[in-house]
Amino acid sequence: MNAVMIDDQTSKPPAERRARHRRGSVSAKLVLGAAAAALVVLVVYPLFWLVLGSLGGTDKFTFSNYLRVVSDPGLYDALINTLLIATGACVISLVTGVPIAWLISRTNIPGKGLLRMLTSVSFMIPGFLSALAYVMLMAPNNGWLNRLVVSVTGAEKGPFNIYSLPGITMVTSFGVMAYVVMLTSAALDSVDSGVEQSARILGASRWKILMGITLPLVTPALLASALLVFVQSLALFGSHAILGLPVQIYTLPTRIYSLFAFPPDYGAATALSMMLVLLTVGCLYLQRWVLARRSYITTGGKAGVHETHDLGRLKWPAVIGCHAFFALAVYFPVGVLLLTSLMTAQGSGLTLDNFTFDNYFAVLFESSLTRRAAINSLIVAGSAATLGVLLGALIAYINFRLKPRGAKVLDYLATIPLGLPGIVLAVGLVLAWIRLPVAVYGTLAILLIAYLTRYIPLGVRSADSALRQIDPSLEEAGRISGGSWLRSMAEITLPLMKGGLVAGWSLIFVQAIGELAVAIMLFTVGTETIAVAIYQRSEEGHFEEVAALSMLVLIATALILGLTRRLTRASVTRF
Amino acid sequence: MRSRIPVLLTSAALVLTACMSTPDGPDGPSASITEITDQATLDTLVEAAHEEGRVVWYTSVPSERAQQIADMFTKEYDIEVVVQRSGGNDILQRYLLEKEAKRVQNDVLTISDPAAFINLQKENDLTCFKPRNFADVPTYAKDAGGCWISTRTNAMVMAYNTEQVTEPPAGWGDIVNPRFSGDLAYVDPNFSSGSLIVTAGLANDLGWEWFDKLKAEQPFIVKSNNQLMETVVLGERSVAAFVNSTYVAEAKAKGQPVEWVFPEDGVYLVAAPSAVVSGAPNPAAGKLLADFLLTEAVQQLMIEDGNYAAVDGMAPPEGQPAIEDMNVLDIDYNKIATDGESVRDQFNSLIGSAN
Repeated sequence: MNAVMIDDQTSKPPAERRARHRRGSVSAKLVLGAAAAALVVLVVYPLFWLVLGSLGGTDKFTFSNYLRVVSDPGLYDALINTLLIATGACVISLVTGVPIAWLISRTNIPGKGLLRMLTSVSFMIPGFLSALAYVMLMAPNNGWLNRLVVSVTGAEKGPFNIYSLPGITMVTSFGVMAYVVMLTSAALDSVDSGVEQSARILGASRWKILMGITLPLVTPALLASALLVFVQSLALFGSHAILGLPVQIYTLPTRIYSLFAFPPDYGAATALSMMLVLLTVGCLYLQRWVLARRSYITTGGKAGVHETHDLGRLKWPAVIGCHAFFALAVYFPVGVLLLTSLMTAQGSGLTLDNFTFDNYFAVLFESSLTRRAAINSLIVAGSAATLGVLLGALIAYINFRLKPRGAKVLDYLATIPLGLPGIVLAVGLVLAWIRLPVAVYGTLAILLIAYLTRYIPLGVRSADSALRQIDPSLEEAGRISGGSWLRSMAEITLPLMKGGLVAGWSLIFVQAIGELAVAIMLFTVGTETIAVAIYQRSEEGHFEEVAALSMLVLIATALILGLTRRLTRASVTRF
Repeated sequence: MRSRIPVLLTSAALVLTACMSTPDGPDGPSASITEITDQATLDTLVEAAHEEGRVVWYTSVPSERAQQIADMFTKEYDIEVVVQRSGGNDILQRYLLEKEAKRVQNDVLTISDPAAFINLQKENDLTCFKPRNFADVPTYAKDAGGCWISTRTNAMVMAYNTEQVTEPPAGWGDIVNPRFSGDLAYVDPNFSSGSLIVTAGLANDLGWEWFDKLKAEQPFIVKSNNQLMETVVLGERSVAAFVNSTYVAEAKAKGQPVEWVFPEDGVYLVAAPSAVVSGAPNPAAGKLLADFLLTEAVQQLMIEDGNYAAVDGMAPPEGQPAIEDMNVLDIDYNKIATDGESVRDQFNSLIGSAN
C-alpha cells in the first residue's frame, strides 16, 4: 500500500509539480471530476440513507436510536469482543505474515511459488467457509481433531474449542493475513538493499541489519497493513456469526445482524453501524497521521537491487514453520472441504462406502442454479474488478498527484466501505438504489454497484501503492513531448501501474466472488451469485454439495488469477 | 458540497419515485375475486392468471419440495412458478425491503409464522382471499377473512441422538435437568420465528424460570432448524430442546441416529400460513397458487414430508401421533404479534449473558 522509498533528490520541488498538474487539461478535469463524482455517489449516497435511518428515518428527527444503543449493557461486551478479535487477528497476521513476506522476498527459502500460492488461497477462502470447516475440525465434542486426540490419548474430551474468542480470532486472522504478506513483500521488494549492503560492509550482524534497517524501512507498510487487517477484522461477519453466536459471544457485526433480523430494528441497527464507521475513520486517521510524518516519494522507475539472504542451516526450520502455519490456514480447511465434497454423508466418516463423486456431478450438471450463479458471479466480479481498479486509479491519482483541497475527504470516502459490515452496506444500498425509477434492483447492475462500493477501497489502495512507485517526471516527460493528459495517462501512467492494477483487480475479483452478505440481500430470482448458491445449499443442510461447489469455486478462481497474471505479465512480486 | 449532494440526490430520487409509482390496485375482473364460490369464478381467475403468465412464490418450504409443487402447478395451469426458497426471516426481511422500495416482486408468501402474518395484515400488506378448501382449515390456523391461511402444520418436538442418549427427555419439565447439562441445543428466537413462537409459549405456560434452568444447562444456540438437526445428528450436542418434526422425519428417513419425543406435558403445533401480498405483480396467479396449496394433492405432499396437513380430516404423517391423541398446547398468535419483541429481549437478557 505505501511502499517505503528513499527521497528522490533530483526531481522538482513538489509544489511546482503540483501546480502544473492542477492547471491540467479539460479532459483531465472531466475524467477526474467524473471519477470523484462517482465515488461520492457510490459511497455518500447509501451512507446518507444509513445516517438518515439512524436518526429516525424520513418522518422524524431523533437521537433516541443512539441513546438506546448506548444504554444497552450488552453493547460494551460486544465492543470489547470485537476489539479483542480485531487486535488478536492483527497480531497473528503480523507475527506470521511479516516473516513469511521476508522469507519470500529476501531469502533463498525453497518453494517460494508455493508459499505465494498458499497466501493467495488463504485469501480466496470465504470467511464463512473456513469457519464451517473449523467447526468440523474443532467443535468441542465431535470435531475431527478432538476425536483424534480422544482416541489416541483416551482423554475424556478433546482440547480444542473453536467456539471461543481465541477460536474466532484465529479463523478471522486466516482470512486477512494475506494483506500483510502482500503489502509487506511489495514494500520489501521496492526497498533498495544498498543501505543493507553498506551496513554489512561496516560489519553489522545479519540480525542487526534486519531489525535495525530493513524492518524500520518497511514500518509504514506494516502499519498500513496492520490497520487494514484491523479494520477488516472488525467487520468480518461470517466467522463471528458461525463461531460466536452459538455460545453467546457477541460482536458488533453479529449484534447489528441480529438487529436486522425480522422484525428489523433499522434504527438501532444503523445507529450501531455508525459505531463501526467511526472506528474505521479513526483507524484511517491514525494511518494518515503516522504516514504524514515521513516522506515516501519514490525513485524514478528503477528496480531496487536486492541481495538474497542465504538461510543456511535455518532453511528447513523456516520451511517447516511456514507450512505449519499454512497447515492451519489452508491445508486443514481446504482438506476438510475436499474430503467432505467426496462423501455421501459427512457424518459417516472416511470409508469406501461413503466415497462418491455425486456431489460434483450434482452441482455441475444437475443444478441450473449453479450454472446461472457461476455466470452471474463471473460477470459481476469481473466488471466490478475492472471498473474498481480504473476508478481506483483515477481516485488515487487525484489524491496522490493532484492533491486538491478536499482530497482527504475523497480518501476517507474511499476507505469507509471497508469498515461497514456487509449487511449494513447492503441495507444502505437497498434503501439508496431501489428507489430509483430505472430498474436497478432485481438486475445484476445493483450487485455491480454494490461491489464497486464495497471494494473501491481495495482498488484505491492498490493503485495508490503502485502510483507511489512511479516518478511523476515520467508522466511529465510524456506531457512535455506533446502528449495530452489523457494520452500520458493511458500510455505512461496506467501501464506503469500495471502491476498494482492487476493486483487490485485480483483482490477485488476474489473478494467479489466470495462475497455473501451483500449478495444475499440484493439478489433476486435469476441474479443469484455463486456465494448465494453455496449459502442456500448450506442453509438447507447439504454440506457435501456445498463443499464440492466451494472446491470448484476455489479452483476456478485460482485458474482465473493465474491466467490474468500470465496474460498481463504483471510484476511477480504481487499476488 | 458534502452537505448539498445527498440532498440533491434524494430530492431527485424522490421526484423520480413519485413520477414512477404506479397505483397498487390491479385492474380486470380478477381483482374483485375474494373467494372461489363456483366454477365460473375459478375460470375467471384462471383466465386472468394466464394473462399474467407467471407467479412468484417466496417460501420456506424446502427447495426440492417447493420446486415439485411448482412443477405440479405449472402442469395443471400452464403458468410458470418462480420459486424463491429461504428461511422465514430472510423472506420477510426481503419482502419488507421490497415493499419499502415499492418494488414488490413476489405474489405469494409462505412462512411458518402466523404472528408475522397478523402484523402484515395490520399494515394492509395482504390481499384477502378464500381458497376452495378454506372451510376445512381450523379456525385458529387462519384469518377469518382469508387474509392469511395455514397451508401446513408443524409439530415442535424434542429430538435426540440415539447413539449418545440412552434416557431421552420426557417433556419440557424433564429436559431442563442437570443430566442434560452441556447436551442441549436450542434454536435462536432472534432468527427463527418458529422458535420465537415456542419460546413465547414456554414463557407463558412454564414461566421465565424455565429459561433460568435452561441457561444453567449451557445450551448451544443455533440459527435454524437445519443447523439444529445437523448439530444433533453429528453429535456435537445430543438433545434438541425442540425442532420442527419434519426435520426429524427427514433425518430418520436417511437412517441417521435420531429419534423424536412428543413432550408428555404438551406439544406446540405451529401453523405455517400462506398469503397473497398487496401489490403483487401477478395477483390472479397468486390467488390461484394460494388455492392450489390447499388442494389434496399438495396437502398429501406436505404429509409425506412429515408435516401435518392444514386441512382437517387427513391422516397424520407416518410415525407421528394423530393430533386428537396429543396434548396440544394453545398458542396465542395475537399476543405474540404484539409482544414478540419483548419476548426476544427477555430471552436475550436471560440466555444472551450466559458466558
